[in-house]
Amino acid sequence: MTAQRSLPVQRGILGALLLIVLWEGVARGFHLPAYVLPAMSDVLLGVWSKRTMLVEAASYTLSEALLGYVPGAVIGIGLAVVLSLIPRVRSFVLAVVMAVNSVPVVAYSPLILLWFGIGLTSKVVMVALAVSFTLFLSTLAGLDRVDRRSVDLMRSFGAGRLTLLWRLRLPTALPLIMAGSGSRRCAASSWRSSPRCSVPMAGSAG
Amino acid sequence: MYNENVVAIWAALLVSAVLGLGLYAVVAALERILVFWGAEQ
Repeated sequence: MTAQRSLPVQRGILGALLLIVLWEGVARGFHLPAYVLPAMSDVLLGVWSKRTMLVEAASYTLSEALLGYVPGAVIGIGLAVVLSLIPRVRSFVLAVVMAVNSVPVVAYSPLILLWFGIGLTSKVVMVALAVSFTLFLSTLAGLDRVDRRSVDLMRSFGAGRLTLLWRLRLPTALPLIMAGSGSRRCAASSWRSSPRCSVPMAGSAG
Repeated sequence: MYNENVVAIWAALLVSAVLGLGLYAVVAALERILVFWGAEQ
């Protein structure tokens, strides 16, 4: 069982090692200049020589990602739950959310910088926005995929909306919230969105 | 730093990718604990 679970990890490590070897081979074999593709060994040396600065920057980005992830998840999941409880407003809210979600996230960053200023808040808002849309859509899809017969069965036993939500809809939706399009992807997107706000900041500083 | 040294850009990319992977792994482990009925397939 443990061996079966560790197999994907071993394969992942093997894939990373193969990439490193291939990278090093291509960079050294084709004598590529550093501005095209530096050798992996040089990059690792670069990581080591700049380790203090990189650790400091990474911890700052990690805190932004986590600070944005939590409210983003609460807003996204909360809104989806509210819409599943009040189906009448669903069409209105869904249209607005889809319209806002259609705009590239990069397009928001200058506006968010104007509204929240240059600092931690704007980055946290940026991450929360990126996370909440994705989690909202995946949660809504998860809440919708409940078997109608299960709902009818629970209603026949006198279950109300909240009981249905807590006992049936949320447990059914949780795998979809967590997996695939849910939290895993959001974890990556929260990480990506945090430095996204730093890019316009760096531009304005320069 | 990045204007002077191209390797430093790749170093920052590498560190960012590794830490992002770590964050993903943490959430995947959380999923395995929370969604015990869905994780075992």
